[in-house]
Amino acid sequence: MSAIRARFNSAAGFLDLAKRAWKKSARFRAGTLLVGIMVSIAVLGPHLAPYPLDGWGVVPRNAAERAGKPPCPEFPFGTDSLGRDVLSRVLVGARLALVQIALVVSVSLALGLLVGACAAYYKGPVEALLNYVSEIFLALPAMVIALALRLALGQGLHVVVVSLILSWWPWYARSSYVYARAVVEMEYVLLARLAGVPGRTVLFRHVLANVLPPVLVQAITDLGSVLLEASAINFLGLGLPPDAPDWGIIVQNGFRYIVSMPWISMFPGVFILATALGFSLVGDSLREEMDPKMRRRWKLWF
Amino acid sequence: MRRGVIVGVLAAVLIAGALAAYFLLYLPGARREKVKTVVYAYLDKITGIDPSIEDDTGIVIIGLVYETLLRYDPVKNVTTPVLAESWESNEDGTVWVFKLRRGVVFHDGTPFNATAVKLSIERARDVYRETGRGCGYIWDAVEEVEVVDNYTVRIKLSYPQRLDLMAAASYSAYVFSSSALAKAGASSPFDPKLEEWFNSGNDAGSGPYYIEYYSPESEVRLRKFEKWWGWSLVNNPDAPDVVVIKIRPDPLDQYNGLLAGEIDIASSVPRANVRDLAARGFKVINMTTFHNYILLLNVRRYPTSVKEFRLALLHAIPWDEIVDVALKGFGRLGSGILPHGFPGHVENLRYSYDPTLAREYLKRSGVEPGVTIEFVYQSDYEENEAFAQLLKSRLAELNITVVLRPVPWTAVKDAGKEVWTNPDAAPHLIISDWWPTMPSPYDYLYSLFHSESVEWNWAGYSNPEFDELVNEAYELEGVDFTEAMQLYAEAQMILHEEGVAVNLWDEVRPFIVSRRVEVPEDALNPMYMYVIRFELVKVRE
Amino acid sequence: MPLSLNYLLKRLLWSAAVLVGVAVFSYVVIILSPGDPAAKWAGNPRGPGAAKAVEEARKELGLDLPLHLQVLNFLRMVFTGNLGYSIAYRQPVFAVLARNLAATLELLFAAYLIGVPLGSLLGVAASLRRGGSVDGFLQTLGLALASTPSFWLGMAVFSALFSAGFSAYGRVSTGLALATGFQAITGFYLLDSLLQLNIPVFVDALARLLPPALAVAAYPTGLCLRLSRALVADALLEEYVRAAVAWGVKRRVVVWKYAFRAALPGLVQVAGTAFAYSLIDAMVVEYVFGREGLGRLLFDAIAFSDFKLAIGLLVLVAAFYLAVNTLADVAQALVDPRVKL
Repeated sequence: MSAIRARFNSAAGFLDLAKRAWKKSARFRAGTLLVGIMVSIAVLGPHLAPYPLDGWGVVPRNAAERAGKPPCPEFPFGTDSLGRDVLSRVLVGARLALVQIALVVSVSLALGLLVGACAAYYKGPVEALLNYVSEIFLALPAMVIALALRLALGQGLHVVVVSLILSWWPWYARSSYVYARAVVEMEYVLLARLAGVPGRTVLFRHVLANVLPPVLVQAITDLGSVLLEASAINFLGLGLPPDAPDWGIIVQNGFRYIVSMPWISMFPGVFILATALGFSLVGDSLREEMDPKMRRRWKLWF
Repeated sequence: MRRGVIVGVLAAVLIAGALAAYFLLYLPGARREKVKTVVYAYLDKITGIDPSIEDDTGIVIIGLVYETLLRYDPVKNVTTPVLAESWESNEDGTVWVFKLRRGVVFHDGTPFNATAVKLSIERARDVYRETGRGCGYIWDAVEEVEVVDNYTVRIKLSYPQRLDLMAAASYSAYVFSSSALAKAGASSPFDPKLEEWFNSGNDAGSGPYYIEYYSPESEVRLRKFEKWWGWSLVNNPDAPDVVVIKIRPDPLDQYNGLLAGEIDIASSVPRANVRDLAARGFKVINMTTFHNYILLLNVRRYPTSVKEFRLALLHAIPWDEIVDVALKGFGRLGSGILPHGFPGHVENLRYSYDPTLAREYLKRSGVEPGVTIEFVYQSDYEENEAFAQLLKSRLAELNITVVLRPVPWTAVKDAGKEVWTNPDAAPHLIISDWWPTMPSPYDYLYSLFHSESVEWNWAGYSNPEFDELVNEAYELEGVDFTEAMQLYAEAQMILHEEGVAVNLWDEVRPFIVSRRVEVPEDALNPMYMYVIRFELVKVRE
Repeated sequence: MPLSLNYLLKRLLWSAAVLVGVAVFSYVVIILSPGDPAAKWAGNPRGPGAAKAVEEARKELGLDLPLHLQVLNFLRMVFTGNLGYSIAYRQPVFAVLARNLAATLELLFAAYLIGVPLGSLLGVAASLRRGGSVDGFLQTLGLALASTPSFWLGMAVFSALFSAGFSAYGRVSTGLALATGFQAITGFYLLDSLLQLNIPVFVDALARLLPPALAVAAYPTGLCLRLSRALVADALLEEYVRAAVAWGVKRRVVVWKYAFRAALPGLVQVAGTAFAYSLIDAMVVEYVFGREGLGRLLFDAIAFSDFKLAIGLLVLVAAFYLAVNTLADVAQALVDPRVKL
């Protein structure tokens, strides 16, 4: 019950939490800064890039002279084997990175919350079935799902996104189920039902509103973890095609040349790290701020 | 505290014991055997080693373990006698007599004679006739093989042909021992048991090396055949005793292997690293083969079904950038369909990179701007990948969007063949990398463009005039070779005019050789792709 | 610490049921995706044997049977360990998986043997300097380690070693293995080489194991660092610990026997669950270092369109997750006197 001592139940509440965290925690400030930089790059990327066409994967006209240059004033991150400016590629890649993770986390969050809340509310066989299904996907990491989907559907963004959603939603389902179970027992829910308010409304208004806050904080950390997994899936060639402007793909392009042109893989990796770290810092400090006791729940540590 | 001391002493004793064991057992042992081993890293798994039926990567093994009657180098235009010492034909080239070499034995001790030759030729020819597998079409003209005596074979043909060239083909021209049938428990040469026996790693060859260990996905070990007839002629005491062919498809893998000293000859390293390797003292051999990369355009699917669109595309390909950007300098820009040095090659049958002309063609084609086309190519070839991205970037300038689909080889074939059953599901552009079986343009022109060759004609091209030209030329080869080549040239010009396909580049593959191994020039012959004649290779310890 | 058989049995049955669900899911993927399932199962064969291979695949999958029988047939195939012959390796799928599982497990064990103690120790150090700058630094370090993409770290380690002249490629030097007659027995090369008293191979395999293990160890180090810092810091504030300090118990004893002991159950469970997640990291790092193992299978399954291998891999990984999670829970129960099962 104490876990439901939600520190906020509205957007205003969330902002309060954020302001408090900003004042107290250096890590929160650092994280927000990192995330802010990455989001701005994502939005402005193609305009910031010195060679935007390179960024989108187009092979430049004078590729032969340009290819494989180490970092220099003209190309701060060097050029890849086909002469494209790595800085531009990384800047343009920010957009796809954020799109992928935003899509995955938002859909898994929505799906998971719904499933968990339904399981808690409807109980009985529905509960058992939904728990069973979420256990199935809890046991499957995104990589192997991506493998199966890649063989079945071919390459593409859908493989990455779908496999990640399929492997991620059960986490939210489980968390929301645990919270929702307690909320459902609370008196006002029972009273609302007795008063004839339809089940769905009760669900949305009371259960979800109470479940959302801590899970939302978890979701922020997850944005970072999803980025790491999505990059790994793209790196192995299971997801996006090799000319996509994606950080994982750029690392893959540079893999073959890791000895002779290490900068191709190095720089996008730093950006992946920085973005994931940024989200982790924000999520971690928010969680500390919200309810220090929550760190006893081991499962939220991932 | 005391417990710690005891544990420490025990650990010390164990380590000392292990070190002692190592010094006693392994160091002297490792020095005892001085086996000259050469490790050759090959880039593809071995698809099979049946001497009559294999038509793909197995050539690397077969070329060492088996022998043909003759060997031919088209670039030097030299025919070397191997199992046949001399040959002659009658006036019109319909009867050929081969005098066979004496004193040759197969690896199991059975003697080489005319019966083995007859068996090998007939099996290759008939398996192809019955099932369409293998390259037995080289023996298609053979009507009858007569064993005159143990060392003389007379072959009657149903139409004139340069049988000396066919006998030097890179596939399906190998001679194997008839003892293989008994060993395989095969009731006839066409019993599938024989093919299975071959593909399980057994060999019935006469070549300088025999198969000691066969694992087609990872490693094949060959050992020197002491009783090979040619050792005295070759006079090479430094030839390797063991040749290990390691399957390493990843170029980075081979590069690492070279540097770690595990690989002596690498067939595929990242091209960007070649200069680095040369600087470290490795030898770079630019292996020119007749392996080339042909871009085929789907003539049955819109918009590549429109001739002007095809021509627009072909003039939008950045020809001047291919060798430097996509191939990192290792390659030769193609001309016509056939590679340089190959009989029937036509020089200067190219398209120019001319965006203005391309735009003109595009307008004439009536195809709306902003069209999307599909490009399928083999996924693990670095050069294909680079070319694809280059092509995509340049075609984007013409407002043509290219969707790239790199897939494994089997999927490339499936995609290509689809053009005959469902053209709209087959890609617009596809790269077929080709190497010849027989030293004749028929190999390329028939297989890739004849309307009956559905297996490989991925452009879906069907032109009766072209078909007739090629057929005629093939039949003329045995009678008037030069005239035949002229007809083949005309056939290529038809393809050029219609923009059906083009040879993108001839492969120049940098082979990297470590300092301890010397590969002389005549160990390599472009006709026998990637086969290194190890009997000529010298190992320096 | 009563670990009831009842609980164990229930867990095992539940895990088996989940595994069945996983198998059903993979079957759904085969059937519902575009294209002919039989052709996919046969690896999209080509050439003269193609029609026959597809027909065989059709029979194997029982596609002519009614749906529920198809599923049962498939489940039977999975649970009797008979998924047929892998197209990439031409050997039974489960044999290929078993062989490579050992390789990946060796890497995982090495990584966790390094990462968990290291992370925990750093975490304890941070908790003792709670609130200070060292604490802040270590916590951020922990987060950074856990946010590092393993494949990138692997590439960085590989490239750094390479320029220093050492190639950490593969599991063992093939030349050395051939020269000393090394044979794989268990599949754990470190163990095998010791069993054969083959010291050169042991040293070589160890040298090639450490760099990738370090790359995989980053995540558990970061995780355990943060977790142990939090748990130990909390434990140090507990009543009984304060009492012990007041009673004059030595500081070292307080930290380790009381506070750390209290943190152990949580650490064990988290490390155990993380072990399962790190399997994927290990597979990717294996690919980077060119080692044989499940990572290579992942790659080959794509290259050869080997659906059977992919499904086998999927089921194996799920089974691994379930097994590890069960073991972690059991281990935690054993370690934590407060949990009653």
